[in-house]
Amino acid sequence: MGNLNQDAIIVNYGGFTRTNVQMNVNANITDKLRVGAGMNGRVEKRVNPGVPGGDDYWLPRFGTYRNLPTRRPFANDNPNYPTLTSTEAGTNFAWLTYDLSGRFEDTWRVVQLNFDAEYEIADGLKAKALVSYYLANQRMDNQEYTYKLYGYNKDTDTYPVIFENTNPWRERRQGYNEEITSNIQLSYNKKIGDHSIAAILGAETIKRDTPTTWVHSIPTSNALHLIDYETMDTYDDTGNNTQARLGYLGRFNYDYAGKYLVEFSGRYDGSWKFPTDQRWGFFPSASAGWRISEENFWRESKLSNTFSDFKLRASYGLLGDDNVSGYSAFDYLGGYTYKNGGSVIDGKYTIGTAPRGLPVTTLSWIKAKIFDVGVDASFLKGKLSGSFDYFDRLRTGLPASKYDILLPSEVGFSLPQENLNSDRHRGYDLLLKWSDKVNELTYSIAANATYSRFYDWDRYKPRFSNSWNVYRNSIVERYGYLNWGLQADGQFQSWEEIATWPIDNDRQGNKTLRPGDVKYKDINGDGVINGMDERPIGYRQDSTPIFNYGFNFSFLWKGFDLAFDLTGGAMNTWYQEWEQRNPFHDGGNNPQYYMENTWRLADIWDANSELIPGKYPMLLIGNSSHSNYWNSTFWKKNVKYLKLRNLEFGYSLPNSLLNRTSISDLRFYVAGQNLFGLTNLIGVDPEINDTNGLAYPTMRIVNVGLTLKF
Amino acid sequence: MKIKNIFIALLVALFSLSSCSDFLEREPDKILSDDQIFSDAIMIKSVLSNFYGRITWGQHIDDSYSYTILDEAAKTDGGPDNRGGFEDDRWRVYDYSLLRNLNQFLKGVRASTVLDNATQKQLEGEARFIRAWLYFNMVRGMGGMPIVGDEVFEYTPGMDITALQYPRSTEAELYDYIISECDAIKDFLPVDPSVRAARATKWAALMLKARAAVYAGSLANYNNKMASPIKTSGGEVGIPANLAQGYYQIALTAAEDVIKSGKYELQLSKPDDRGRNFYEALSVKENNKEVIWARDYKYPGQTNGFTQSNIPPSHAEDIDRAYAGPILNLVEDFEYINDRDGAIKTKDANGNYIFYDKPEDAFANKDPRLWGTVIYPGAVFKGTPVVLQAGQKYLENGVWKFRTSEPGVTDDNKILITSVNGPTTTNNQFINKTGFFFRKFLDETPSASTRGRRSEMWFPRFRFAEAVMIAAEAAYELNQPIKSLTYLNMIRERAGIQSLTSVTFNDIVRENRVEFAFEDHRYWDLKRWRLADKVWNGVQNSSTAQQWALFPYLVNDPSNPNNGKWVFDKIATHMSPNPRNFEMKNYYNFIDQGWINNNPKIVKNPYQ
Repeated sequence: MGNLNQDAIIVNYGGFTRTNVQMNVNANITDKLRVGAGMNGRVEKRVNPGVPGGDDYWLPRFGTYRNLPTRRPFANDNPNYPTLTSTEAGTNFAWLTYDLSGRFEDTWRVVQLNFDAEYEIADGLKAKALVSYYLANQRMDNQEYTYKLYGYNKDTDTYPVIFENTNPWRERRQGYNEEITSNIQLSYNKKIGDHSIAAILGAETIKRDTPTTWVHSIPTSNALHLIDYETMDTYDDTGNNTQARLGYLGRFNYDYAGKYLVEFSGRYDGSWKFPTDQRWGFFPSASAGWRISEENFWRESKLSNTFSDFKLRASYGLLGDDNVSGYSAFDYLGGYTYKNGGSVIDGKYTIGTAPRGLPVTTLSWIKAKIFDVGVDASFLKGKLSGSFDYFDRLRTGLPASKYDILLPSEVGFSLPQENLNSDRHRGYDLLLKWSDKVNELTYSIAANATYSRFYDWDRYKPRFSNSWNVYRNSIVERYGYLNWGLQADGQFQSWEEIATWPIDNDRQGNKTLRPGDVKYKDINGDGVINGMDERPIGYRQDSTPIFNYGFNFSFLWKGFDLAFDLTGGAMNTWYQEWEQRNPFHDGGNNPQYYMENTWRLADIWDANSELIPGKYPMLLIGNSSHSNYWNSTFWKKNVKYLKLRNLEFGYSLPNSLLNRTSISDLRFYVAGQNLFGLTNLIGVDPEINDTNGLAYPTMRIVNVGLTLKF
Repeated sequence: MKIKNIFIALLVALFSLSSCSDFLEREPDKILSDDQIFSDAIMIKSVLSNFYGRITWGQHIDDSYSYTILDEAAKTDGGPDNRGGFEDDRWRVYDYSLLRNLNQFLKGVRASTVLDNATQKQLEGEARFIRAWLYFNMVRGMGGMPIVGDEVFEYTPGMDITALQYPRSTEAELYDYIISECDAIKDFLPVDPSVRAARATKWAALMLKARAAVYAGSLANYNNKMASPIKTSGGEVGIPANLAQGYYQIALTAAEDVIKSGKYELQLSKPDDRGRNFYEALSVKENNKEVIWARDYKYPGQTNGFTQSNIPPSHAEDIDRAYAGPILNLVEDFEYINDRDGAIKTKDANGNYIFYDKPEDAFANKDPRLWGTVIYPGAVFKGTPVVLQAGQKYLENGVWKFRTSEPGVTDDNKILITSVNGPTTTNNQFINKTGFFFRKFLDETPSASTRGRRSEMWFPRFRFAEAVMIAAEAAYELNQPIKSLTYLNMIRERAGIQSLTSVTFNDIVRENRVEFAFEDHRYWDLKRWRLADKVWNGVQNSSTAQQWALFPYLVNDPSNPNNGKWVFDKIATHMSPNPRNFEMKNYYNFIDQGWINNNPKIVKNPYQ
């Protein structure tokens, strides 16, 4: 049983509470039959003030840019009268309180019940069954109040209303997610001398329902929290959206003396999504391993002195995925869809029914072919161990249209998609670990790295109009999510340099340039900077880095233990945009480290005063469409970082002290997460994707605690 | 043996799951088959409602930005809009999947057994009206397009695709098709006005016929009067000049049918307040006798955000306001009651300011329709005046200087400097920058400017005044000046301005402009008269192509005899630094290369 109570990131905002329970019971009813049951459940609640907009944590963060430092949150500093701090009323978080802005509460009540039984039919032959029931019930209530913002009139000492929002918002979402899974298996294990075999045959099903209703009303007063039918204006019933999947599986393992290992397995899966004659897919796989270090010739040679363990392995398999993009369940049906569009006719709103397009009968499972080959080895009697893997996943059957069958657009429909395209992930995985004991110090050091690159692979009959088109737009067998842009080459240092610059840097004859503005490389030498000068300048922006690595350390000495992990990433791109780049974007502010490092006049009232250089170009309001802010390496950064992810330091009291008590183990510890990081980005956390820098960074957490065992 | 039995029993149990493949058969919640739709009159109406919701194109009140593109209004939200030219696909309509849906609907309705004859004819009429409206929106943008009739195309793999390739019709053929469809269905449709003018009636079909015919007639007429007429060799663009008179006659007859129907009139429910009367004729739905076909809105269900976006800040009920504002160009095209020159008098012949006691005095005796179309400084909206004040002016050494402030700030003597409504020359959101607010289509209902409720304001597409103007224009072109003058004076008399004694073409152009401001007429009118490239000529600071604003200032200069009076400055609004530039290629939208790739029989438009 546990309870967690965590405050929100924003002061006085609310937070997250969770209570959870877990129980497990296992019984051996006879010596052949064992049954077990488990239950785990939790109630979790999120609370914060009722804030306009979908993401209630967005406005306070956005306020950091929008609120101008020249305006104070309260009129005349009187806390009873919040005022307008920017052109966007919601950014003044003086009024984002439970009293003034309302309340958002989201509660999930989750329970999961598992029942399993195992029966030993004969020697080595077992039957197993597992049924699991998962129910997650949600109730979300959100009320946003009407509010007033005030000014201050010095002469009369009154607070006139300068802004008023008379639009309250009351919503409720209620529904549940229910999942029933079942799995029955027959398994057989036998060891005959050096040969051991294992086999499994089984079937599994999963069914998921998510009925939900969403209600919206306009309450007549901020003090009224219930929803009345008379003030309700939207009722959305989303229906069950039942998902059902069924699969048969089988696996056969054979190994000889732990030296040669072989496995075959296969699945036969069906999904409710596809039409009846395309519903099923067969997905086999196979793997083999060879423990060379067990071979006689190895043991007898000098190799066994260095490599105490050496194993080669390889596997190849096929898996299916029914999550086909652009294809929804029941797309194979024609007819009409109710509640789609509509208009006001005969004086009232009439819900519309939209004709569906052509039934889609040409799409089925996406298939992934996964190949892996690897080596495990350990040296020096197990002190140093390592493993290395190369993997390659080719996904085929991605949906695309056969464009070469040209139906005139005037027929009013286009040909449905078929499983035509493919993509690929390829990479390497390396792990090395050294563990040893010196006197009373036991320690281990490990390093790991993964490099995983995504490629767009086959397209259906790709065609291009010219070689530039191939270079710029082809995605056939090429790195995926290439990030294109211009290449920046420093900044203009003086007016003379701009006047004599031979390349048209801003596509307006350099008329708009000032010292400090970004210079671009004219890659194709045509004298003007435009799309033809774009080259790949970065990696994918909104995804995990291509290269991830880490170091793990652990030390144990007498009763003290210390473990810490460093993790890092590279080959990822972050685009510095919006308020991080556009001067006074939308009438708001920019970060201090940006504004203080720009080119500027020594005296802003004197146009002839000297120019002070800086890292960024000159700030001018309304200038965001200037050539300085084009997509280029000046603003797109390749991110590299290394963070101290986990650290735990503990002390266990020695047994000599505990023997006299009934406590069997007592340990104190201090632990931390994300304590420290190194990165090449300034001002933002390297693990965020938001291009305006407003995402909350990874949190630094410090824990102190103790564990007791009786 | 026992073990073997159990083993077999378990295997059987395992494979009995194969019958559970109906475990994977699930029913959808909201999908209905064709039979379920066409055997139920309510579901058929639901499909019709879906169609009525898909036919709003061109300028309309749910897209406030569309009003800032021409010479009627400017965007006042945020920073400048550098627009100057017109896009190749500006307001281009191409929706053959809607056409296919309409043809499927026609097939289903004609075969349905649950409808009585009159309802069946009405539904068929409405579907064909919507189809004709769709073709009309296509032809006025692009010229002739493939006419597919009642075809519902099917594709079977291996069939000969060339049978599916329909060539573009000629521009004249497509206008003829629209006219003939409207003729064929006019007696299927009801004769009485529909509720809130939302559904098609006989008169809507006749209005579409009249509008299509007058468009075709003016294209045949004015295109061929250009120095180099715009046409393609196959006639997809370009109507022969000899067809003009025929089209004008069709337009005149159809318009006069509507005028004489007795079902609609030029609404004059408030003859003593013509400005208010004009506003109510267009923007108030109760007891409305003028609007023939409109896009209706209702709360809850479907509402529009025009009021929410454009309401003056002083009257706003929620956070949005002042997205766009009408410009001086439109305001000065409105005549005075007894003076045809509509210019607002801001300076006298010597270049000195003219002083007004109150800002609304500058608009005294203007065409009352101005009050009903535009909120000018000092005009009353929902009971309180809308104060527009750019700043204060004072005289220093014989030169007029001005001061501005943050919106709503007063000076030391508690005199307002810059109003919360503006106008300003900043890049801020939510404040006016032209000196005028919309009044036409601005909803006076309480809460119409809140996000929660929004507005039920309708968007009229056809109204009685258009029938009168089409008749005036057609009669003029058919050389019947007396008839033309009668119709023109009907409009002017309802408006409350002096009648004319003779008609020139410019009178018709100007009357259309001021009567139908913001109703999606201006762009298409200037295009069909081939005047667009002359009015929007791309000349910096020209009076027609540049967007102009009128900034009111309060004179705050205690030593000056004119202290406390108002003056006005005419400036080119900084929100539109570039003049509108309409080029020859903009008369017809570009044909998308994708359509040509799919159907090689489609030809490109001129200048493409």
